[in-house]
Amino acid sequence: MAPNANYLVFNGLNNAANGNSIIFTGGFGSGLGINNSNTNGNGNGGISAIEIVNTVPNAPLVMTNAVTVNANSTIDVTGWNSATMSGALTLGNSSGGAIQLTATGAGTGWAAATP
Amino acid sequence: MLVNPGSVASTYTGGTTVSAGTLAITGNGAALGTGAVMLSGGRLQLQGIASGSYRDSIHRHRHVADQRADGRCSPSGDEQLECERKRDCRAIANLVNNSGASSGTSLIWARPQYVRNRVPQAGTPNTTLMSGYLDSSNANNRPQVTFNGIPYSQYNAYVYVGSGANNRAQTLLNNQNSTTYHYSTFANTSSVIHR
Repeated sequence: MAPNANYLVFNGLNNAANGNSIIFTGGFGSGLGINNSNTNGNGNGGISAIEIVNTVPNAPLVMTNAVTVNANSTIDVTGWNSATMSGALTLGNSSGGAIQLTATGAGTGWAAATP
Repeated sequence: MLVNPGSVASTYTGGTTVSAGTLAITGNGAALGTGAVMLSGGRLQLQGIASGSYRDSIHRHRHVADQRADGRCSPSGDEQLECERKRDCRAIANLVNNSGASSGTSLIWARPQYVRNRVPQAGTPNTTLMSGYLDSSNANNRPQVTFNGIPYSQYNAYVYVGSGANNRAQTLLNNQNSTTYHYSTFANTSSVIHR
């Protein structure tokens, strides 16, 4: 049993799984595989609202933060074919050893990183 | 919008350190504060902004005036008249998204044993939107909400649930994946409208 809930999140839904439709079904009791474990008399409750939120990137990201790199690290733009970093970029560490910043990305690759 | 993930700027003014793994940023300011970002290993993924959402509630299907005032629900004229006549609109042919554009998505609220209608507690748009639920208490008449024509190839769904009282066991599933939630209600006042 989860804690008292106001909303529930279903992540990772997609149109490949079931056409471009989805059905939500509510219930209580043994009919959907749970015990009738109500502690307050009955099973009255249910769905008030549903919000569908897109998770596929459809615009480039603009990050204004300053960035400091002090160990081997990667900046990746997988998901969209460009991004902008408009803040100052500082490379280096206190030990003086070599470090590497790697830029990666899918599709057309990374682009438009303008520190 | 209620949850609005990824589109509300962060108010955190401190820095962010990535030392291992991947930090994926999906919206401007959504996951980062305004301070500097320290990369001490790992990966910073600037994967772009995913925008677009729409939502609907059982309350709007009972109170057409709220549908109009909210501006998110866009039934045709005939559907509005039908809603006015029945005071119980259970299908919408074309939802509009958070930008006000048509989504091409239709929606059906079905199989309710009861629609229980809570009085809005504070009178805000969100509390009004949440003032009602499609009741789940009849094992032989499970409520269902169906979306057809979803325009997003990948998406998350936020399902808001309520009750007239606390600590009532409920369950919720969908037909796309194996996730089934078992939860306990947490709500307050209610009135009951028997269908």
